[in-house]
Amino acid sequence: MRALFAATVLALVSMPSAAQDGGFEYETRVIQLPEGSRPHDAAPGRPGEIWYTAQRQGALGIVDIASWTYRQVPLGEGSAPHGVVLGPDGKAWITDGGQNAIVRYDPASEAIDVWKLPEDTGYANLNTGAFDKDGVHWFTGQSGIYGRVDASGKVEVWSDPKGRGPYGIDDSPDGEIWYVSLAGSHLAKVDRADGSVTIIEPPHENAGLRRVWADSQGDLWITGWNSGKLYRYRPASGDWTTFDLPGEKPQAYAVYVDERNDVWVTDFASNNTLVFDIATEDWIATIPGSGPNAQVRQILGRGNEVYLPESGTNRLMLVTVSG
Amino acid sequence: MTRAGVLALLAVAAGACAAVPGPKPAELAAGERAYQKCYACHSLEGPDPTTQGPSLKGVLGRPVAAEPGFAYSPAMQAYAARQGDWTREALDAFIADPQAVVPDNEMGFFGIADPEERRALIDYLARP
Repeated sequence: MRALFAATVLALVSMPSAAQDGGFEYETRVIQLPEGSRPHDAAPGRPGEIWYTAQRQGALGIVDIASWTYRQVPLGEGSAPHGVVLGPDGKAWITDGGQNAIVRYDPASEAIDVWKLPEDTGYANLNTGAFDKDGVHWFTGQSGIYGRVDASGKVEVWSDPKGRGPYGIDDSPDGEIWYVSLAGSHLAKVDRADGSVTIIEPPHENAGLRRVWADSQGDLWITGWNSGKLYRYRPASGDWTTFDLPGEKPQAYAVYVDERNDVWVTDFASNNTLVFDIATEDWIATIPGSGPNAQVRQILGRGNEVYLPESGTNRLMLVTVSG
Repeated sequence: MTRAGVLALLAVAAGACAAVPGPKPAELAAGERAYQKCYACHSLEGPDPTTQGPSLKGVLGRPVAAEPGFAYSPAMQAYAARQGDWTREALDAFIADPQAVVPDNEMGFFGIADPEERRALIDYLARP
């Protein structure tokens, strides 16, 4: 590991902090969000904004980066949003476990669409969403489903072949959809034509595949929650490569590949976010949580910004990478 | 015991059962629906290494954080030392707001606000 540096701590909640790892500089800022909001996922919003899901308060949060302030938009009765992504229509698409619905928020008009899952789906425990190359929103439900909703609000749902567990989901550079199953411990490629999936098993039994993200070459980076490993799956060859996280018993949760093609992984055991260099296959930076048990469950970013929502501290960390 | 004695005992037992009504089928159905919110991480069939949480089989009355081999968080272990067993009241409070009752526990679930839904869920988990 080339560098270990201290990130922003509580005393610096409203102040930027910077550190260098040799080649790159990581500046961190932390914003304190409402007590009990439990920010679960974050995403780029409109230019200059970060969106987050306030899971415990049934709201979409909007952080204005310039003023470093936030506001929350209630999403409806019983809402408990898990994931949020920016759609090609410029709207926030939210996987709302509480409403058992895909919710869409239009930041221009503030209109909210709520598309319930079909009645016979049951409670899906909706998790995360991603867009394919045709602009269709695909989503996972941890109770054992995956599905899609198009811009007209038509919702379709399928059962995962191995049952409970569908969790992280992402689109690859060619616009195809992949998801992983935590309890099923498998990778799945979706056939967008008929909704069927091809199951791909990881190299370790019961690895607990939690989240997946594609790099610019189409390789998939996957976290193993149970195994504590970072995996790379290369669709072109079908090869798996395993990378160990530092530490005794790591718990790899979130994964994201930034626009420089570095892989970001959160480790619950060490309370750190780790940065991995694909070219050197080396861990190059460590960003501690802003407080104990920060519990960063998801990572996303835009340009040179990376967002770390801390569900455990009710904060959101913005990391700006330069160099 | 004579045949008449056995019948009398059964009659008394039946009367006792009638005096303490259990949840009605509709209530159990409501509890089963509520359990769908737990299903992704908690089995009802006993310990399952593929699920993220401990089994809920027989959870009512069981000691907190007591499933053999399950890696409970330090927060849950500390709560177990304070609480002892999963009473109905303890389960109700925990399901209502898991993070308020056990701060820093690792369960990602946001809780069930509706007390009737919680009651139905606990009844469902308590069934034989």
